[in-house]
Amino acid sequence: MTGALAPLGARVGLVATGTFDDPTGIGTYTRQLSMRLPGRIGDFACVRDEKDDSPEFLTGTLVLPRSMRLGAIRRIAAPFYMAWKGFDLLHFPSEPDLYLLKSGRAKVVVTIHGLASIRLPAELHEKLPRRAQIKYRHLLEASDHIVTVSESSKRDVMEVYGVPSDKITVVYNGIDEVFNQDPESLPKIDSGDRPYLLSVCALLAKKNVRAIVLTLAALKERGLPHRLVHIGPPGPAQDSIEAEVRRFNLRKDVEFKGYVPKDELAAYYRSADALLFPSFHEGFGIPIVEAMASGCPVVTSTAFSMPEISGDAALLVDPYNVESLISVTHRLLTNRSLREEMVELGRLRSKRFSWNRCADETVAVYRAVLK
Amino acid sequence: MNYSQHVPLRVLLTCKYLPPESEGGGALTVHALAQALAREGVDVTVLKARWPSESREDRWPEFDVVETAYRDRFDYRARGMPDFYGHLAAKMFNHRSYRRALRGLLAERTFDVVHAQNHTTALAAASLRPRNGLPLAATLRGHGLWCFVLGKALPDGSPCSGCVTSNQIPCLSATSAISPPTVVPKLAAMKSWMRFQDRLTRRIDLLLPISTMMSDEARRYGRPTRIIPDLVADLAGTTQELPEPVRSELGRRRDGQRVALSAGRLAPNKGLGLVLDAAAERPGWLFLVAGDETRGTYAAELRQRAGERGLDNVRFLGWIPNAAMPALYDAVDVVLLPFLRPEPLSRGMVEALSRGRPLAATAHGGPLDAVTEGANGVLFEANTEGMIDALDRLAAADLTAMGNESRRVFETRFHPDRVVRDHLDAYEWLVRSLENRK
Repeated sequence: MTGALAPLGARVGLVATGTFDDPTGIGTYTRQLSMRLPGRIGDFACVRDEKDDSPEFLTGTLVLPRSMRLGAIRRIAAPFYMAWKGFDLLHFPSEPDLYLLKSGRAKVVVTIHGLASIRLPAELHEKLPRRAQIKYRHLLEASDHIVTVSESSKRDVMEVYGVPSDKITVVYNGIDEVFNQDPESLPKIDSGDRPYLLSVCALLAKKNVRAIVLTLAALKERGLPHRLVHIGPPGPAQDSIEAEVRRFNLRKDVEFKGYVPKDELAAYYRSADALLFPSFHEGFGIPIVEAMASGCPVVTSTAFSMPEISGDAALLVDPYNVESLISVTHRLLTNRSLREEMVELGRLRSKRFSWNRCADETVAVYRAVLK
Repeated sequence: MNYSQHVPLRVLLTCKYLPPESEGGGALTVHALAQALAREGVDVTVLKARWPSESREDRWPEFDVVETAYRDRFDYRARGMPDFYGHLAAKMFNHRSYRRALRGLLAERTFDVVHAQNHTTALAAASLRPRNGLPLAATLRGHGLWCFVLGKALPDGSPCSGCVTSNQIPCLSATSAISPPTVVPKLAAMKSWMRFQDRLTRRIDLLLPISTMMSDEARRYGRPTRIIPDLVADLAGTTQELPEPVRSELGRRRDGQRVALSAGRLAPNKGLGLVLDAAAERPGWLFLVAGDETRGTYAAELRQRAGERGLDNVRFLGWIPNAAMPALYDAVDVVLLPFLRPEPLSRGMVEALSRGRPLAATAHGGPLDAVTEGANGVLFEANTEGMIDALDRLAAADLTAMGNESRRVFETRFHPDRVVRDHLDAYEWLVRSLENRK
């Protein structure tokens, strides 16, 4: 696919200003595309606020001038600046920077990861104000094509914003190569002498980490020796989760690692007895496929994209039913053959997802839009 | 009662799991068999895999358990090996690993009979057979001896039932999730392994298929064969009550509505699509579907399909604990076994027989050993018309008489006492034949 768009003379920009440094899945998506698209497109630029020193990100980075970092100026000046740079196609890897949308003659592709802010109740996720919803509807109408990361998100976009099906393409996320690496090459982690369950997500209410803590308490009561290792950036739900940990006297059983590098994360997946990921909403759910690739069995939720992404290779529970999470996790931890089956099915399932495939299919979308 | 002249026999059972490590049919059977043999005065030792995170407490007090540091999954992907060759390497690794463990155990202790309960240990024991001269029996419970390609799947993409994590050679029109070998080096590697397996299998002194279907498959090896079904406990007399959600579902049945149960893994090859089709055509029946709904998305698909068709006579019960199954069997009129593909022997089928339930089964595989048309159930072709016809025949039949006949079939062919006696007879025959050879 190298130079696939070069014959069209197309200049493509990936507008990563608001998402490149995001520690969650959206940031991963942006960074992976910014690494893989230059090799597939003749003239590519990743539009950013700052340039970092990582050599893999240097190719074709376009840094917005410092003067455009302030909100008001940015909103007015950046679209002109982008238009001046002569892009034929601009890809917004998430919604935040959509104000740059009207940048000259450029075609616009937008990736929507999920609509948790509309689909979930206010206690689980901050609601998107009505005015913002109307704004997004207009912006999406003005875009030339929309990419979603799952069929579930596609259905949501169609229902919420009334976008026709043929304007949306599903391009699944991928899995970083580090999760398929030789375990010897991964950093050594101190996983302790007790087996552990893994939770990988930001500490947000919609991630349902509270249910994981309750599950750990119940498993401990049933005599299982497991502890919980949580990996992910802090978030608004941190205080309430820590309160639950104290309430069940689990301070010695729960470890919050914060954000860890990918290779270290891969090492944690490999040694974990299970990934618990009972989220209320995901657009895709990258930890599910990362765990599968690492040979870690997955318990996830029946909500939104998660059944679609995990297929038959994970145990699915109703995220609103903690009892169900407890009993399924208990079965997984005590039943070796079930665990083994889930590991094997997970490894097979994970082969369907790769960032190279994601980049190829994204380029195919560009090609269709530019025709 | 003492069945054998040779008791106390010293029997080594080899397997991978014992419950609660697995609740699968194989593990449950090995456990029940070891317990029953021990009760008969047999000196039973079980060689199984040891799992690193398991506690060392004695969970199987009735018999001796030796655990080996056998590593089940050779992580070939982490070594950068492609799936096909990696899987082959993993098979070899597993074979050598069990072989080493067996050799060590046989050097330390003396046994009269080795009875391998799974594929890997059967081949490992067979490879040692010429050296130690110990009589070797191997139970054939699935297609393990004939499988090769990992990740077999049905044409609709669902994993092959019975050996989801195993591998099967051209198996009943299944397709492979991993490309089947079509290039010469792969074919050659596969054939070499198959020849190796064949050669070792021909060293087994006695093959013990669990059903006629498996016996047919065993015939190609030209070894002595005896059909001994899996040991399934007699459920008569167990009294645990039905879980409350199931009771309330049954309470909602209409007057005169008959109840049919389909219990087991929720997978396309189990014929649950036929159940939905039949439910649409026969509202006079209430269909209960019991099975783990947390494994993958198929259960949700089934629910959705039932909802779209407005089927109010299909109820999904979710996973029912083993202890509650007898009460569930009692609460239904008929047990359905609508498998789309032949299954060697359904454990649920034997349990239903033990509880005296009429059966409606597709006419292939294990049910052919248990169902006599019109006597204790009906057999039908694996399609919607066949299933509807079967339900109509059952509606007109004397279900009580059929249930009684099912219980009689259980007592004559599947009762634990009979299965244990068959095992002891087989062991005795093995020991005697070895003595004669000497």
